[in-house]
Amino acid sequence: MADLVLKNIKKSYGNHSVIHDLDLHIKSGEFVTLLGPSGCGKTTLLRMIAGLEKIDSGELWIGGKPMQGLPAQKRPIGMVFQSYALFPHMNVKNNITFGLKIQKMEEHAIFSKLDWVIPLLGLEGLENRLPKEISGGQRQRVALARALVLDPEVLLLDEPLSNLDAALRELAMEELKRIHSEVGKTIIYVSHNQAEAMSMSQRIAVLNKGNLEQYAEPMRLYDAPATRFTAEFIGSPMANSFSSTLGIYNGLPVVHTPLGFLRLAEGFPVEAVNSGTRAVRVCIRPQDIHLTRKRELHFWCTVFNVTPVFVETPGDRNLVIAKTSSGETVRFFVNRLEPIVIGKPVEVFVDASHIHLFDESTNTNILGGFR
Amino acid sequence: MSYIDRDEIGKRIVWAICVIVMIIGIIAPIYLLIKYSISDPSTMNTGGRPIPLWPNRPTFDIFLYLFRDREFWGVVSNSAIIATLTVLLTSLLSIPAGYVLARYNFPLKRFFLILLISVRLFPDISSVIPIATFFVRANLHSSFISVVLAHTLLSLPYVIFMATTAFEFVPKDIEEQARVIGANRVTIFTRILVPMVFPSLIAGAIYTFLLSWDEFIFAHFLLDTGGQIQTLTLYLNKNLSFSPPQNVLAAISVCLSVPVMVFTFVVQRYMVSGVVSGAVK
Amino acid sequence: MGEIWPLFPAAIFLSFFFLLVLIELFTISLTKTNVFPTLEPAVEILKNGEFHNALLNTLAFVAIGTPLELFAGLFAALLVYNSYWGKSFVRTIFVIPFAFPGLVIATLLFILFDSQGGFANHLFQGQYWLFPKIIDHDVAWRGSKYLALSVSMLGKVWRDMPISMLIILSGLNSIEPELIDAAKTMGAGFRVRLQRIILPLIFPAMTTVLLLRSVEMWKEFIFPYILAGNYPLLGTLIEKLYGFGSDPGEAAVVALVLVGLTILTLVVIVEITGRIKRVLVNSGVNSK
Repeated sequence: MADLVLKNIKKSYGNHSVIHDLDLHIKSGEFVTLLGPSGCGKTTLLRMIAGLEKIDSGELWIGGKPMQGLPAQKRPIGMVFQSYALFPHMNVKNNITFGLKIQKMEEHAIFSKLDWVIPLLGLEGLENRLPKEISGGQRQRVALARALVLDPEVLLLDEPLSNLDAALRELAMEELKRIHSEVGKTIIYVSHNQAEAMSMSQRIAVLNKGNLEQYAEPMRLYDAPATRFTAEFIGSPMANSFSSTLGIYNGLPVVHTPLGFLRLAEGFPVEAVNSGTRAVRVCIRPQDIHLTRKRELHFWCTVFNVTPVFVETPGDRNLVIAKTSSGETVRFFVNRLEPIVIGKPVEVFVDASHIHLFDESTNTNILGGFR
Repeated sequence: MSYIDRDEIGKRIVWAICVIVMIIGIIAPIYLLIKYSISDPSTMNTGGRPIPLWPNRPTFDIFLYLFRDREFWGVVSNSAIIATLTVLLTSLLSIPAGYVLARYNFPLKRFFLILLISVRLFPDISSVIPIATFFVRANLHSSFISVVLAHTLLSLPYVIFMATTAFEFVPKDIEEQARVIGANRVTIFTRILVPMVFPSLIAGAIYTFLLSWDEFIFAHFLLDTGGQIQTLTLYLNKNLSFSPPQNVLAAISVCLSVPVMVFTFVVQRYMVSGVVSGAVK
Repeated sequence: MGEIWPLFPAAIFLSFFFLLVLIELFTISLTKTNVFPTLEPAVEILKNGEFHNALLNTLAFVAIGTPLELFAGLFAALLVYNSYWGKSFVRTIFVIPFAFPGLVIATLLFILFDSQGGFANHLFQGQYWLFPKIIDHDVAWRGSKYLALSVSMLGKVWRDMPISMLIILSGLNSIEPELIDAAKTMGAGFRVRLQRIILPLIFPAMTTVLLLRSVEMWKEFIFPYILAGNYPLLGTLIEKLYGFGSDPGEAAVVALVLVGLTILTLVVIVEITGRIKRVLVNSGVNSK
């Protein structure tokens, strides 16, 4: 068991607090991503786990052992840095065996480690090259190999793909998933790229301004964002977001948005509406708004009209940017072959189960207490 | 609650002890120099008892004596004149040279850089003989001009490096922009380039001034043999051979050091890059 | 060619003096009382016992002083680099010696290491708080070759340590901090990081220090001139022959020997450090 537990972690630089009271429990063997925009504290958090940054207060446990006060070199961790940080004066083999030699591991054991890790990462034939003589993707794999051979309980990856170009990144992501399934290590991955995080992680910790916004499986973040920040940060392009009012109409809970009245999902707890009305923020993903044409609508769908003003063609489908009658901008996807005429209103619908509601003042999902 | 492990505390203590020992090793001699310069005779001749760490009766008599001495002022002004002329000549030669080295590639550039390094690394105690002989033959011995030329030879390679580095930091676009607007080369140089690299040029000038101010070998070989001109370093050396009271030596030393100390801290950060780049190139 | 004319004044100035120095130096070294060419000055100086002594003294001065300056600079630079607080303050203090003219420091040591009643004698006789007693009687610091040259070297190393420190410090500062962090996460403690990461990476800076400092040590003049007048190094011997001996020919020969030895030392250092570098790079941690 190598569970990693963070309890009441706090960190500040001078008067500037970067992590306020954070709790996180990462299970043994899990692939977890710390996701957030730059400056959210994710790298600081990773460096605190590594022991490269002091924890101001709180507890850090790895595999049931307390880590506070232990320097980085005594923690059961391995780390891959954003710049890879390969030692420029050592060849690939010596970079990989550096940590093993510090442990005074025997020669034959070192060789068997090399025999295991070099094919695992496809580094055959590069053993005697210097870091400057190999490509970026290869450097990244050497950095990974160097951390893996030490058999750490937790592997920490600090945006290791950000220095690779797009094509290589796809490959590297698959590699990383494969390696995770082969070695079964706990992996903590830092990223600002939500698509990368969504496709690789088993669970994602969304961080914003030093706070943990939500810690859940990728699909849950997508389908049931706990906060407005998560709803807007996860998914691409950014979700449509409207300032709205929640109320009861004919005994049913509805939300009054610039699009018109939207019906809420079956089983929506009436208690959430409180008394009278409540100011809420409505988030609807562009993927959840559809044309009504040739579609069968059920009772929980709401239909409204919008006027397309612009069509973007990112590839597999088209993104329509449209205006509502009240002038708000709405984005949604349509089939690539769908004829959309600029200026000619179209009828679209949204399914009530895909509407996310957040309290205007706390920015938390108003269903948070009811699920 | 904060966590610091015991290794960490141990390391900090070792670091602090080393730094304190180093600081004492650096500050103590300087303190003693200043102490000697304000010592009275009873503080220096103790008849076997330990020399007090603070003068029995601190006094500025020696300084007052020096400041009233016409010979001393003559010596100081000689040093200042030589240093100023050296700065002017060095700047005049080094600024255009640095500009060319930073901007153009030409066939003999490598050759010129090797010449710079050779001149810079050539032992001054070896080059002083032919140069002194030359000035004797040219009837320039014991003159300001001979010392100024010699000091320029010492400072020039290094200051050219400094100027080159400074000009390399000015983007070429700025110059081309000015040319497009219609400025000619001289205008571009004096109105745009020189103001942009001014801090480095000042640093180079200060370096040259100090080099000349505390230079001893060339001054000694060119001026000390029968001439009338004396610099501050020669004055201190002459006093050393008379073995005067220690407070006199210390006071002259302090006078010699003050401008050097003041300026060195001003140019310190420029010197670092200069020392390194000058060595690497 | 038209564009590089601003370089000409400096180029002419430098080439003129450089050629002058080379030509004159050889000419003078081959001249004895208006006879040219003659090998007499060279023959004379090679028979001169004082020259042999000066040569050996200087060799020892270089061989001990150069590494001493390297280690002093390395030590100071590491203290600054690993500062727990006040990094720029510590750095500024450590640069102070360089702010003093060599002549001033030599004069100060002249005062402190006086043979009778000098401060050093009092200090080493244990007359002050904390400092242990090392000697029983006053020592004539300038009256013995070893002591006089040791004090000269002390002054030289003390004053020039900041230059070595600054060069090494700029080497240290160019090490990517992530490399150090990476070494930590791989289990490297302070000593391993120093030996296997930091020292190999600042090796070029240390080579620079060795090259520059060895030149400085060979041509050292001011400290031995003031503090060890009776025990010449090559530099002080040149002055003695040129001035008191009034023998410019022999002085020029010594000057040429000095130049030759300096160049030889540079070549040797480049060769040796080149070999060490080849071992360091690519063998990495194998070099235990």
